[in-house]
Amino acid sequence: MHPALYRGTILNKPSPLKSNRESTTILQFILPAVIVLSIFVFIPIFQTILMSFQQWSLSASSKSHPFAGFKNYIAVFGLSQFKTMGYATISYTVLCVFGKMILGLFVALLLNKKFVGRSVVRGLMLIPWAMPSVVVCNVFLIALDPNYGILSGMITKLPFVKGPFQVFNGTTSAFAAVTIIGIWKNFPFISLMLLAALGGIPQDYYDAASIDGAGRFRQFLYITWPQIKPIWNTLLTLQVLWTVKEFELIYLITKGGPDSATGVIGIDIYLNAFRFYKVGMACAEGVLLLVFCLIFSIIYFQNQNKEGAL
Amino acid sequence: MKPFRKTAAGIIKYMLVLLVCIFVLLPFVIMISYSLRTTQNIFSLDHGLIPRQPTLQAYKNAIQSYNFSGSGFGTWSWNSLWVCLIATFIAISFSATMGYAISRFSFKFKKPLWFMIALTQTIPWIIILIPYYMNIAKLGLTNSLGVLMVTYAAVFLPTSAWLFVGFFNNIPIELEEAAKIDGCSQWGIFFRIILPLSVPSISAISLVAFVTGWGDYLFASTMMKRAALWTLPLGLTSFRGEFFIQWAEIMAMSTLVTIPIVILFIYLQRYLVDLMSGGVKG
Repeated sequence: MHPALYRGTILNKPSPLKSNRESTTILQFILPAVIVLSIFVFIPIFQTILMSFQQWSLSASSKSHPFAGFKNYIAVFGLSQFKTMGYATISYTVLCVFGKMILGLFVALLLNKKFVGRSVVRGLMLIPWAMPSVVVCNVFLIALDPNYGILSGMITKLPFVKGPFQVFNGTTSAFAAVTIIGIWKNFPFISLMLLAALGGIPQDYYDAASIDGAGRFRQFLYITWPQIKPIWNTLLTLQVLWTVKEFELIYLITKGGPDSATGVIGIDIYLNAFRFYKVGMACAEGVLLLVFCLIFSIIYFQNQNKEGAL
Repeated sequence: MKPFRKTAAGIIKYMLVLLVCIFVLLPFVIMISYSLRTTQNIFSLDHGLIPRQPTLQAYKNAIQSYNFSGSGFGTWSWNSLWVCLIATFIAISFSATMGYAISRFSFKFKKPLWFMIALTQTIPWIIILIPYYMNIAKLGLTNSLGVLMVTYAAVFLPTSAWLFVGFFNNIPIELEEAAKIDGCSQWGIFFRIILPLSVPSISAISLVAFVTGWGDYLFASTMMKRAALWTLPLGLTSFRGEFFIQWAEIMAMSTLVTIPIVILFIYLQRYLVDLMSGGVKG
């Protein structure tokens, strides 16, 4: 039986005793989590929204923060940097998500085939996922160092590379490097999720299709793809949400440079708030990001609802 | 003709697998490779993949060296370990109960609650960092490992609750109904039936929770200013001087930070994948 059916039977059943005792039990179950979330997550979110409409002067001593209307938002949009930031954020998100999803699908299809040592390879796929961002950043910083880098040493040996390989100095190359590192860190997660879905497709489907004379490509198009499409869509939504807020991975490698080429919105918010003390503006940017995430979350939530999660 | 095509396809398959393995593993291998040198070796242009004179000197330096405040690897690992362990414990116990309630009970604000969790699970933490830091500074609670602990718990709670809902939804309800008829209370059902069934999932979720704090740089670096209270990711930065970076020591410490996590991930691999795909499916 499909799990969704269980859920249907559980949830549509009118609860037999809806006494006071029962609602006390429910409260006991949810209250600790709700309290922690309220103090540490919900309240700060509302504070951010509030602060984005306030004026924050540079001197830390001033206690009053008068209402500023949309001044902070206008400042954000009026900034010459906004264009660079928006461009960096959008292109990073699009390229990174695209790369992760395509590579993730390709690797999942490859690892779904039978070969010697399959489970070992699947285990190794967890390594990028398990490596902490700080570690990943340090490894790539030294590995791509123009003088002492193992990777840059290998790359300079390639025939078409001329001169010293200074990847983090050029705007385009730094951006490309950060994108590739983002893809490397996250595509195994997608592969493993898709592999789990691929494993659930009965082999009979493929046997029947090959008897009917369907080639590899048509088998993928008419059997594999429809089966993994729901998970693919969810993964895509989640990846957009997770990638657009990328901070640590980029900040620890380039700090947003050179020339703000890698200054995605997460880095911009951090720098505005903690380096330049433009708190109001940072909060306004934060709210913009929040609105974007909200819209995407609603799409995601509705998708899940459609599939009968609740 | 046919067998030839088959072998050719087989060879291509293995070559592609090899390529994927190299791509996935190379940075990890590079990390270990650097950690087996001395910083002097790295600067004297020993930059092949295999170190010319492998040595464990960097590990010795990384573990034994102390920074200006007298704290070192020992202090930082201890801080990281117990902050992450307690944060994991809080996050797991609170989110398991909430996840169970969302999965099994019907109550008034269930949908909004679920939506809030789904949303907070995806919001960028950088958004809450600014007011959060201000609140903490106002209360004089920066440099408190206790606050960092609860922060990690709160940060992971939504994801964890979301994963638990996905997992509990797949446990058939019949078991619980039988227990209920036998007069078992809701908490009794939770502790005696649900928890024993969930041990593998709880360990997998705990691992993901643990790693969230273990690798965190953002919250720790804004809140922990005193070196004696640093966690390992902050400790890594102590080998970065303004003009001189002790790369070998950084890589040695990185390896020490990464290896336990990698082993746990591979050990719990099956549960992790089942769990995450259960969550993604909803």
